[in-house]
Amino acid sequence: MFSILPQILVTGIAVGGIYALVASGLTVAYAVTRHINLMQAHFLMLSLYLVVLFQSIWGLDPYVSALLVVPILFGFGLLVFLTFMRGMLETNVMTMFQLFIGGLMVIENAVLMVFSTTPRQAESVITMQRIVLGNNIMLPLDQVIACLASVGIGVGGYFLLKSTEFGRCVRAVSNDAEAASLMGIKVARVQWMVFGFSFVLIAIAAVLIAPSQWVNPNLGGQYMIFTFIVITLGGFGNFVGALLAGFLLGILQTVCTAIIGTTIGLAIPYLFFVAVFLWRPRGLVE
Amino acid sequence: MEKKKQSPYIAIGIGLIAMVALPHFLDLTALAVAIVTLWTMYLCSTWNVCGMAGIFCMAHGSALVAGAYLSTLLWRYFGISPWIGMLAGIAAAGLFGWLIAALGFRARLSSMAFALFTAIWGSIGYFIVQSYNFFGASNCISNAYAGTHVGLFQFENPIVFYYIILAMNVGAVLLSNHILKSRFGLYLKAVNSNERFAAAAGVDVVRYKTIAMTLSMMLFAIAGTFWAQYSRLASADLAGIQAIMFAILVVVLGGVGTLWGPVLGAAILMPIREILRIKFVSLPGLSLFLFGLIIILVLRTLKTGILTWYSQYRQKKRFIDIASMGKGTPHDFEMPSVGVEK
Amino acid sequence: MLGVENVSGGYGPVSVINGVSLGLKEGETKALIGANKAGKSTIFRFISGLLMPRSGKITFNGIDVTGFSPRDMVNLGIVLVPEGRRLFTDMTVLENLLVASYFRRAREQRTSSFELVYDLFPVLKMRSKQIAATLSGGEQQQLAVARGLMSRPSVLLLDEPTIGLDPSARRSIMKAISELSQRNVAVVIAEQNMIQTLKICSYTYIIVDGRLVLEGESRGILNDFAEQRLPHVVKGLIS
Repeated sequence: MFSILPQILVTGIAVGGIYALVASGLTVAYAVTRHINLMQAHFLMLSLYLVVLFQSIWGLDPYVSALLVVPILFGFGLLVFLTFMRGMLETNVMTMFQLFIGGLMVIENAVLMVFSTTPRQAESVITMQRIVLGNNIMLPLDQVIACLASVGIGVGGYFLLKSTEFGRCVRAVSNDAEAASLMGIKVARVQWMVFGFSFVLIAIAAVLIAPSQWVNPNLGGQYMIFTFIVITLGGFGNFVGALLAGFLLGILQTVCTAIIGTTIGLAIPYLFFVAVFLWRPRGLVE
Repeated sequence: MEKKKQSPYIAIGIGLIAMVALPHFLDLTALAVAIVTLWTMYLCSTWNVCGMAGIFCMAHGSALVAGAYLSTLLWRYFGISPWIGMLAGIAAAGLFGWLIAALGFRARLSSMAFALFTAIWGSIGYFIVQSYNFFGASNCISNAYAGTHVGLFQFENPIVFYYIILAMNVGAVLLSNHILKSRFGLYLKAVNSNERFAAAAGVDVVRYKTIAMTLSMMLFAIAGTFWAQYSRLASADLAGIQAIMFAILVVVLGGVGTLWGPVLGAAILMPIREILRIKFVSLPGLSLFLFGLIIILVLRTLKTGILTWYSQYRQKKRFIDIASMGKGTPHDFEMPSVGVEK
Repeated sequence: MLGVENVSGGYGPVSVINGVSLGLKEGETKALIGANKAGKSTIFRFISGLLMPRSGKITFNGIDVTGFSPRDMVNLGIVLVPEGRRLFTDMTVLENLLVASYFRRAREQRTSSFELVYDLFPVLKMRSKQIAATLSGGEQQQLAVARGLMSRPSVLLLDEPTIGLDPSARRSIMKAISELSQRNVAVVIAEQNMIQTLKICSYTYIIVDGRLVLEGESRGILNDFAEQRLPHVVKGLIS
């Protein structure tokens, strides 16, 4: 039993790391625009498809195609900002929700049209490789990389927000956008940069799971619910909260699935969410 | 003024007569489509009760399930007529709605957080029904009973179901109209435009929102029972997030909180969806892709639902008219003359 | 330097402000007195670029700046310290001051700005690492004004800078403001309380329901008040 504990932990952190990356970008984008980009998870799916595409056309390893996918997703982030957010920021939540639903439909079905429903996967040179520690502990290399990368980026993002000039601007805009504009900050620029950056995080997350994740047109919807649970648990707009909640949820899900079994294991995050939500509606952190 | 008041009634009357006469001109497939359309329209109108108060609730799938499964199960195991089973469904849905409202409204959630909150609750209904064999698990519970039996909500001829759902729609519209013109509706509108101001003005926000949500859920349960009887199946898909999201989409595009918004939205969007589906059946995904683009285009241009946009547009014109009459803006008045010293 | 010419406008189809004109020269300190909802904040919103007036002009050093964005206004040197302080409550005092001097012109002069600000408001230096939300009311107001100064204004608009403060806090803010004119910063103070404000402002505008009903040398108005010669509508503003 104990020999698989490190494996479970690593898997949990790797899984959680993906949730953390996607959700933390989403939550900061919310903080500066006050609207939740419902399509976040669908762009994760789109990024995965891009990784698959680049492998099938040019034979690129997923980690290498990051060089292409990251800038492309940044571009998508700008596109989404211009199409969905500019000029719409005062609209009420219900209307924006439907606008995003329209966007979801477009992405899901575009992907469906091009790739059909067959699940695809991009393989990496390291796909089946493992790190071996001691006697019994075998850790899949791609998961170890995912762990390290997601934790590293999370920490990096934290310091970016805390200590850099631009990070302070982002925090200022999320606190009070109008007051920030009165201090000479170009709020719109902060908004689209944050948006683009959140999409960069998505691209990185996609590259990290590509070696082990099969992608199909429904993946967006699946990740969407988890992303929302994470941002709600972490507190809307709270970057650190989203990171912690993401890792926590990943670990929880993996541990429960390993111990109890898949069907109920998958239900655990929902139940956990309901329980925590009733206890602390504003999120676990702060 | 008499003339202006009569024209909507005439239009409505004509529309109603057309709807009543319609089924006799349709073949069975078209009739099925019409019933589904009317059923969705009913869902939209009843969800709109939540919409009037600005409540972004997505838990209604569980209400559908309550209506469908309770009536079916009570009939299958206890021989109780689905009409009465429907009442059980209504009660259960109302209770569930009240519960979610009690938890959600007191927690002072933002609109989006509340929506997610309710979506999770809605999914729980789906989850329960899917997982337990008592509810048929991944199969549905069949309700097949040959023949017509009014007391048991069974009709051989689908036209009867058409008239029932039509009557339900008329009832929903009448109810919405009554609410909008009542004091209750006024409170809901106040809560919708600005909760804080409404609370400051003395409106018991939590109470009225809870009433609206409970009412909406109860009305949904009726639709659930109807569907179980019409399709002779109680299926878990009713609780799926797709149904309620589409209904909300339709209402928002038509105009949330307006009387005819849901009806208009359904009357426009459902045919568009069907036409797209039939026309582009060759390439899977294309129809919904285009549908999504249409939604984006409409909402991006109008920035709100069709009827809401229209009423805002008329209001703006009215102000422009008043201003251009040379009398200045409505709140202009002459100050008692005070010398301005330099 | 700053000119507001016959400006009208509001938040919707209805005009809250009608035909208001103001002027400001370098180093002057002027008061804008009016009751709650009289329109003081709205005028400031026009000047700072947050709101576009329906008619009229706003000029700065001869340039027509009507409708410029808040960011451009700040760059030109017009800075608004809005009512309600609007501090970045999750950030420290130091961070608040840093954000206010983020844009290039202010960033280049950051060191001297900090000197000025800590000189006028020493308590901020003491509490520089403290979260803004934990400061007292008076300290928060001082931080709000300090933030405005970090943006290197030539025109500083203060919207109700002393509201809700105890007398000692109010005095320290007023003292700091009077020092500003020596440093060539032009100031417009919007207030409800007339007497205190008029003591540090050379000129006063009085606004009732969106219109200027009286303007003149503060000393003259104070005299008129003492001799009961003020128009009736204005009397209600004296407390």
